[in-house]
Amino acid sequence: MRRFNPVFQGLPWEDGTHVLHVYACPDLTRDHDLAALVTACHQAMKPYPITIDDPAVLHITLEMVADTTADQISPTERQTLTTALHEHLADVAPIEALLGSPVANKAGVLLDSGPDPAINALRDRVRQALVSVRGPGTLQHDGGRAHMTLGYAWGNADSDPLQSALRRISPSHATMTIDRVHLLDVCFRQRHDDTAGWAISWNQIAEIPLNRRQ
Amino acid sequence: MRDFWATHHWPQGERRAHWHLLFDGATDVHRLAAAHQPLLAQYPQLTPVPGPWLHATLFSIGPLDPEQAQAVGAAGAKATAHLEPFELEIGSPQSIHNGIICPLHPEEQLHRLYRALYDATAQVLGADAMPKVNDRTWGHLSLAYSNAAWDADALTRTLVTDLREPRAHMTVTHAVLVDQQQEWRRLYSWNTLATAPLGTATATGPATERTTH
Repeated sequence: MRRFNPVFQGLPWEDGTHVLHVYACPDLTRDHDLAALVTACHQAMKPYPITIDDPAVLHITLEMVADTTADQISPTERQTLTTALHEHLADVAPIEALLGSPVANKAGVLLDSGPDPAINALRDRVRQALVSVRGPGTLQHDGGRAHMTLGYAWGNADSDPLQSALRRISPSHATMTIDRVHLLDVCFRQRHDDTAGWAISWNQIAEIPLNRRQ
Repeated sequence: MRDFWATHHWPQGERRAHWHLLFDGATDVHRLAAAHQPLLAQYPQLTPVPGPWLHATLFSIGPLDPEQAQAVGAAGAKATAHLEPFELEIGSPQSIHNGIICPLHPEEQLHRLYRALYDATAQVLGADAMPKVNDRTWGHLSLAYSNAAWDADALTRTLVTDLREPRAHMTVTHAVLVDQQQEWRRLYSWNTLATAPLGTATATGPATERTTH
């Protein structure tokens, strides 16, 4: 693995910049198996140069509002985005997602996420909502297959022994109920410690339930 | 990534019996494997597993004579008769320290199958002839073995972020006892010795020969 550096609009993320995102966030008070899996993974990650994410910031990225930074989006525009998300997600059924196996990759550690068709369909609806408000230029981020990052690397290390340790975790999968998404004002900030790794934090703008019309 | 074959080198001509899950007729699994072959073929450091030889090892037994093989097959079939068939999810593919694998889920049912076959085999061969029993089963289907020591970060990233092939699903209805050989740095192949169906009391099949591809 190598040090993770976030990117915005194809360029290195400027320290402290805020960008709006739509995330699916787990409720670990409800998804107990997921909480246990995360704890086991974090334990395996401890010997490695990885900033272990606080469980409070665990998420699956659905989309980024990437045409501008959050400071350029007014409260009225944020409300318009919220309304669009409510409309586009009102008839999307909740998803019983399956997270796992844990994967050590170049940027850190993540949980693979499925089922792909349901999560991709949710992402498509979120994208439609964002594009309906801000135009197609707002989609500039390709996060690839849906996943939950458990920690970002702040240094270089051999991922192989970490992957072997992660493979020994059992059960290797856990469920996560996705019955809402969150519009968030997300900030990446470099830590002021020896690692200088990147830490994520956010302020919630809105919580949008799925299947509101049912 | 490390060289798989450097630590998996059988003596010339040795054959070892294994209990496997096989994927003959599992079209969804072959769909997933085939979708990744173009990517894996870009890396000469990988030895892809040919479609006919895709397998998930439950455990290795070692060399068996024909009488032992027949007894182990019969004992295995008797043991799995009491297990219900179950749904298995295969994937997503990921890189590990010595190759590219698809994890298998759920591991609880896999472990029950492993343990039933392990105990049945031990009853025939004796505990001293058995490998160490595992507390857990981390089942996997290998798509490719690494044949070199190399930096696979780029491939790992591609597997995680760029490919979106849906995971595969199948119903596990039987395990297979095979007489396996290794073509070092190329592949594993086998002859089928016996089949252990789940959920039925019948079943030790006749040996069927398969040719090496």
